[in-house]
Amino acid sequence: MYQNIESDFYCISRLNATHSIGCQTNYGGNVGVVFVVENDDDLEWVLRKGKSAPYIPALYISHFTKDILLKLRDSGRISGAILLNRKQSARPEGGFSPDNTCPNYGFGLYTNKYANYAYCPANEWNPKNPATNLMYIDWRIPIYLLTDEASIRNLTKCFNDFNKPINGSERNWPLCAVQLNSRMNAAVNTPTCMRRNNLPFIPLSNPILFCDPISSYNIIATLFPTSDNVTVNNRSVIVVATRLDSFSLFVNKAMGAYSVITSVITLLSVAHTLAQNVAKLSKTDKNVLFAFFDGENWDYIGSSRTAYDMKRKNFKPIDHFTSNYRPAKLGLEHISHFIELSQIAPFESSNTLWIHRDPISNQYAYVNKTVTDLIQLIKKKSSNSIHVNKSDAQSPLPPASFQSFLKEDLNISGIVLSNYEKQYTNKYFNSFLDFENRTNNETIKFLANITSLVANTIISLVNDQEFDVKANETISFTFLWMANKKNKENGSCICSSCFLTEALSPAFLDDSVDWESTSYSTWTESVWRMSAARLFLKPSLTQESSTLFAGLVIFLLSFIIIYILRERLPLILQTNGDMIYENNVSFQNHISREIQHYDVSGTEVTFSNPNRKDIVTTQL
Amino acid sequence: MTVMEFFGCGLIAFGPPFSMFCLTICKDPIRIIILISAEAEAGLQKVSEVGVQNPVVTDRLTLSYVAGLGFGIMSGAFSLVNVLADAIGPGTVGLHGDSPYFFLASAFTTLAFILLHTFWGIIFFQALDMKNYILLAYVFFCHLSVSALTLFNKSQSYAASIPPIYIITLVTAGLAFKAAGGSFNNVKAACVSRRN
Repeated sequence: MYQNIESDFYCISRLNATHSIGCQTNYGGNVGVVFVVENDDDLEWVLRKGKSAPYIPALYISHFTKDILLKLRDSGRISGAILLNRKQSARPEGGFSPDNTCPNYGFGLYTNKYANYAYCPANEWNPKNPATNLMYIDWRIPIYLLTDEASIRNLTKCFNDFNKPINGSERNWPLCAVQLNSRMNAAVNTPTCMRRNNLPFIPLSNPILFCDPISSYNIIATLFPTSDNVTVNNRSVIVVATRLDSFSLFVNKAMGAYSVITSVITLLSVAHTLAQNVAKLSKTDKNVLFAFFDGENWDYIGSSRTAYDMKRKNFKPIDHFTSNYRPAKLGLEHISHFIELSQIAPFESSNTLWIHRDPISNQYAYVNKTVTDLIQLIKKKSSNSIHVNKSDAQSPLPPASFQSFLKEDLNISGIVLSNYEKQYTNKYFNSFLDFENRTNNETIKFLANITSLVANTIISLVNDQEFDVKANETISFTFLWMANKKNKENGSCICSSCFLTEALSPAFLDDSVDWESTSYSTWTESVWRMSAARLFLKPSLTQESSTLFAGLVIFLLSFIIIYILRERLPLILQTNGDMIYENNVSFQNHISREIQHYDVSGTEVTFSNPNRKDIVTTQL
Repeated sequence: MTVMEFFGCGLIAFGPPFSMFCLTICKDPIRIIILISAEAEAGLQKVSEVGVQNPVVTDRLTLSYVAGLGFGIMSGAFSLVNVLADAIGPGTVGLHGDSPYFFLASAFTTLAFILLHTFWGIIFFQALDMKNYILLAYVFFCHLSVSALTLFNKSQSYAASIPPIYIITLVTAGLAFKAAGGSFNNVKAACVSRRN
């Protein structure tokens, strides 16, 4: 009767200080008649012609654009939408990035204070494409992605068998319908749903949580372990950072291959290279901090929290019961250089690396000198395989974690390394199509070259001044339990200076709660219980109501018949005299009534029959 | 199956038994107990010594009717509730080419079985009391054959199963009527007396 289809990838609801974005389902799920849209005529059928609304159109990627989806939603004739995209389907040539053209525009460095650069006036970093801004629309309907071959086949078969118009005319009921169910608890905006979270628990009501702040952990490691009782010199720590998260319209389907993963791989590789050569570097008072920031797509959650904590001397690992590691509480003034890797792999074929600088902080002489030296150094270290270019000095930084640090302190010198100058070369930035579908040795080679470049640059930065090393008795490590590649059951203990820090926006910190903050991320994610999608036949209203009518008629008829029978039964069920049972009960009601009737003499009814032989007990 | 169909099928299958319950059972607590557990007869005999006008436990016919209906409702509940519970969603049967009449057929089959159980109860009690082995055998084979007829439902040949089941139900109803002491003359007499 019901056939479940793939329900792993769907759009969810997120909220910020003023809005909610994403998808919503009615309580119990949205039902609609399936319509597979293959061309514009089919679209027209869903939008106007068809008479079986609400529909749930199943679109291929060519029709899954912001304009078409908005038109469908605003027609009021759809109760959901499905994107059909097989795993081996070609990606749209025009690109597909549901993110904004100016990602995180309200929360970086360039907000109203530096209005010249605010809201990407010069250039839109993320090029416009048919899916632009899909992520940030309040759809109010469920949107699902089907990639599974069997599910797509079942859905299209069901459509062809029951729904597909024949010669332009509507098919008869029952029609193939689909139910999409991913009910989001949250509504309105972050202040509303956080307030509702804190409502007192009402007995017998569902103990419901409405939304959670989007939060996770930043992964931090230092090249040399630090300790909180050793002072760190100012401007002695080189930060090498990248972001850790990507997103797509569909939860559970955001690989972020070019948006994120290539940069993460490179940073890991840099850390690995430096660690292998750590013996050569030990005579230094400098240190290298590797940082992987999480939640960066949601208005720089990880980096803004790190900068916030560093400014307040509160940068510390999360409480972990097995770890005694107490790294130094680093502050913003300890940062000498900030090198951020942001989408560095060549998307198609280009081996140019662009260096972006911030025009505002570079007005300070010290910063300008440090940055210029750094760029010189990188250019010197670059080999023939990588062309290093500076972007325009007056052009602002692209969206980057570094902006969060500059926002707290403009005296930090830093650069952002990327493969683009004015626009992302990745046409599928932050989308479910951002994956690597070929084994690309060239990319790997390029990443290795960047690794050497960054590692060599850092070695030069670390070794430029030589001091005697302080005694390191106080140095301690943390021990991490790691899964063992060779033996999956037994892990092994790794001695490491790596730790996690909380990536929760400062807007949600207990001592400074501000759900309407305009300086820190206020994104929350709705709580939801489950996701389900199933195919079935939807009966016509006539069939439903006639069944109900038949039931009512049968019930009423039976009631009347049984009522009459009950009244008449004593008369109908008469037994002849020899049908007296052992237990002295007979069925002679008729006779006894007559006796009763004729025995009335005067005012008193005399019915003298103490022998229960004659009492009738058949009345039901 | 939708909410409307759910209630429609529910009323078809359980409407008549519900009417019977409301009109003939529920006024007497002892009957309710017997309806739920027919085996309580012996125990109830001991506790129902209060001067009730028509004690059910001493009345074989009422007892057999109530117990039979109880069995019927229980069997009906078991056979249909699962179907109804699976079905209270937005859809109906037919995705894989199944008959759209599945639910109606199930409901009508269930109704027939509830009524049959009631009649079988009356006939069976009577047959045992009177040591009438032919009636006894009828109940056995009737049950067997009606159950066997439902095998047609598997191939969705509802026309082959439901009409015969209802014919058998009518015949069994006649036999139960006879066993309870009814006769055609009585019916005539009842109608006449009503006119008077």
